[in-house]
Amino acid sequence: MKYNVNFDLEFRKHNYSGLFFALEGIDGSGKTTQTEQVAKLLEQRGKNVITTGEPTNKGVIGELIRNVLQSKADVPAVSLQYLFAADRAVHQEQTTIPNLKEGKIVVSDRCFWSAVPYGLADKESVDYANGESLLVAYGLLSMYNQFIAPNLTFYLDISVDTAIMRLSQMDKVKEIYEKKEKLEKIYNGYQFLIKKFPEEFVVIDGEQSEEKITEEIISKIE
Amino acid sequence: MKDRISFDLSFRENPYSGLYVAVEGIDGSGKTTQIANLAREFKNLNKQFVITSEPNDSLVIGKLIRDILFSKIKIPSSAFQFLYSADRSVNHATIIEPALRNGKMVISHRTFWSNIPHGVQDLGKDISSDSITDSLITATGMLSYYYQFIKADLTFYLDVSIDTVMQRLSGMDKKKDIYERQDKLEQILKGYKYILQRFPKEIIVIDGEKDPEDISRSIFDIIKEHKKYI
Repeated sequence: MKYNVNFDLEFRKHNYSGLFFALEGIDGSGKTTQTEQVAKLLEQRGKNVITTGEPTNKGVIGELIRNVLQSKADVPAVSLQYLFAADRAVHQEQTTIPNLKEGKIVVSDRCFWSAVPYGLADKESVDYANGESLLVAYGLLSMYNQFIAPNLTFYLDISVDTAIMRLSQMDKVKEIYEKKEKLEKIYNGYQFLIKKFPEEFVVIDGEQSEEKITEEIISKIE
Repeated sequence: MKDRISFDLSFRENPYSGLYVAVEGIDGSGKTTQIANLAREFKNLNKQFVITSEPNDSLVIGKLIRDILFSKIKIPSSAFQFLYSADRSVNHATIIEPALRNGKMVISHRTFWSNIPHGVQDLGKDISSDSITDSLITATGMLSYYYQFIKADLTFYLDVSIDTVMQRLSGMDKKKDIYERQDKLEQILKGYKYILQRFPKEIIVIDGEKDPEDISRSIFDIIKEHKKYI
């Protein structure tokens, strides 16, 4: 039995006096560094800024996510996706919106867009040619219908090789090969996402020097 | 950003030999009583079966939900629907599917249908605002399909009025969770009515106002007729 479903996938543009920026990218793309640098520079220019990120790692849901990730319990991938969504809902209500209401600039290390590449990477393989990826993306994004969208989302574009190199220097990689395969899937997911929603992303060359990246982001913000 | 989504949704059928039965309805509709009666009946008949519920507070996420429902912890209501789905996917992977695969019958107190009326209510929206409802249906249904949740072979909806449940709940003197307030119940009831109208072939409506033993008899009669019932 098939049922036709119709709806407008819609991200709310907020009307608060603050500004909301998010940084997206694969692991090792420099999101954390840039979140800090951008905030620092904006502060130096007299702006009222807060930095935040997803997953929050805070509160009951954040802690639960951490426990699930660490315990290696038999929790299916989709369960984690839903936990991330719950965490994002809490983050939006308790951090993003209150700060935007106060007129602050919110700079977030990841936002709901991450759900798409990571959700796609959960699958063994995704056929990007037959529209399967689009259905998954819509399914995942439908969880975030009516969430507020950032004013700008910066995608820090780096190659998987660069990511692997950086992560191994950071001593964050134990199983390089396993990690590389996963990173490639996530990378492909991001490529699909920014192609599908080009108006939502500002693509920044993440292979440039840190200073240049920060400058580029700031200039877009300003 | 606005993206018009239109597609055909189908639910994944139970591919296993075990029969999967779910009981749905608003709080106070008699789900717990009916499941207990079914369990008693199946035990007498020496059937192999497993009882589960959504949320399932023997599971880590279900436990958190239970604590939140009893208001020990506060989280925004918009986060709630996701916790239910997170719990549900663990329930499916660790309890429901293994049992069905082994040919056991599964009786579930609620299933993914619950997510829609409760989710709409948590979002503070009206069930008739189709866009919200359809996006929730998509999030529960399509995503579930994609991640291979299975639909119950038989879903029973215990149909009772608000007046009846209010009377029953006040007599039950059990810990009141946050859903047990009349205005919320009314919203949730509206949500169920919407689901019944939208997916009439998926759910069997049972008059929940009748005598509990009569209700059990009608449910049992339908189960007995199912081809997977052995």
